[in-house]
Amino acid sequence: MTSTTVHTRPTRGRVRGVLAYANLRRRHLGSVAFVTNRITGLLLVGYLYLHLGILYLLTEGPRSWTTVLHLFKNPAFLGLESLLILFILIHGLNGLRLALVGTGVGVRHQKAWFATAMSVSGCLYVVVVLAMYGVI
Amino acid sequence: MAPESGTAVSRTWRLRVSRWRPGDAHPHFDDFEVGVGADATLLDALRRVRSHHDRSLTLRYSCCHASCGTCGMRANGREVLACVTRLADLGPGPILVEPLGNARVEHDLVVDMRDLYVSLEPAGRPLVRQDSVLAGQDETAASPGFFRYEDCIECGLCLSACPVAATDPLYLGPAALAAAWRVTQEPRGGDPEPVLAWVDDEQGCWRCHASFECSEACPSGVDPAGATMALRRELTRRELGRLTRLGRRAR
Ligand code: SF4
Ligand code: SF4
Ligand code: FES
Repeated sequence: MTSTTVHTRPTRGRVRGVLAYANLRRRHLGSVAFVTNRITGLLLVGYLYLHLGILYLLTEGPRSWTTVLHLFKNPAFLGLESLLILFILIHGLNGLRLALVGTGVGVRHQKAWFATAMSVSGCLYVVVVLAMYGVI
Repeated sequence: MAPESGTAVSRTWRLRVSRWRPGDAHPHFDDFEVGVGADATLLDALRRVRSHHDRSLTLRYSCCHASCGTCGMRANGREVLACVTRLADLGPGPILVEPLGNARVEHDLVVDMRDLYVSLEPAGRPLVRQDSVLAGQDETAASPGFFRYEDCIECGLCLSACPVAATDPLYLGPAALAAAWRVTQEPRGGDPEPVLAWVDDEQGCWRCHASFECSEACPSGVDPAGATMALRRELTRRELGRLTRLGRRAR
């Protein structure tokens, strides 16, 4: 079936379009969830490149291997790694929520799904950080 | 001057109203201080502006009781029907009043609604709640084209709130998808297949990013986001069924 839409809606420039798309001013939890997923997704992609860059250092031979290992044990780097885990948890669990809700499962509870995903992510993150810094 | 509406107690409200008329390079805001009843609605205040401050302010309204869907606008950044939105619920002010988003502004607070109206056409009409038609009476024949989709008052608040419509003018939008689901849910002897084929498209129900802003904005309880997810469920169910049948045949 063809639409007879007249398309009078304004077309925004790319930057204004992205700003409108990610605008959370006066928006609700569903928007927070969907913007969170995009942001964590982008951060994960960024981290993937950082990771590839670091792995590339390993191709430089045994000396760089030692440097990389030192870097991995650096507390600041561990902090970054823990953030990576946090982003994975948030993106993964919220993604699961989106996959379920997006195919019509538990749609009415989408806010509760999001709250649960964030709470579980938070709890798991604390456990991971404690394990990383040798507390547990 | 006596307050235009509401209780006898008059209060002064400050409105910051978006103004734009054809030929203007950009919209600007005009501030108005209006005295209306403490119980007055945003529409009361805007009508007061028109009658006592600036007759050139353009706005659209008709029924004044949340039925016609013509008075949609944004107040403090949120989509509202001005006729049923109390000023007291919008805070002390100044209250920021803007036209609906994701639509071309015609004049001040009036936007071009054609896209919304036309987008509802392929879902088919008339659609009247079964229990609202008296036995033996063809209400739809008496008022051709009047009824379209029971609860939806075609106000466009959902489209204004939708972040995908904000970036993609080709997206079918929440109201059209909700209408499509209604037809699928209750075809009443019609054929929902063409409607499903229409929304099974990258600019259809799969384009939605599940932000649920449309359902939050809808003043009429239509739940367009829920309808969009239901369309996806239905299309997924059909596709899985088709793949299962293909698999069985291949065995
Ligand atoms: S749920 Fe979908 S249709 Fe509704 S506002 Fe969000 S993106 Fe738009
Ligand atoms: S679905 Fe709701 S918000 Fe959208 S046009 Fe219909 S009544 Fe208005
Ligand atoms: S004037 Fe009719 S819905 Fe507000």
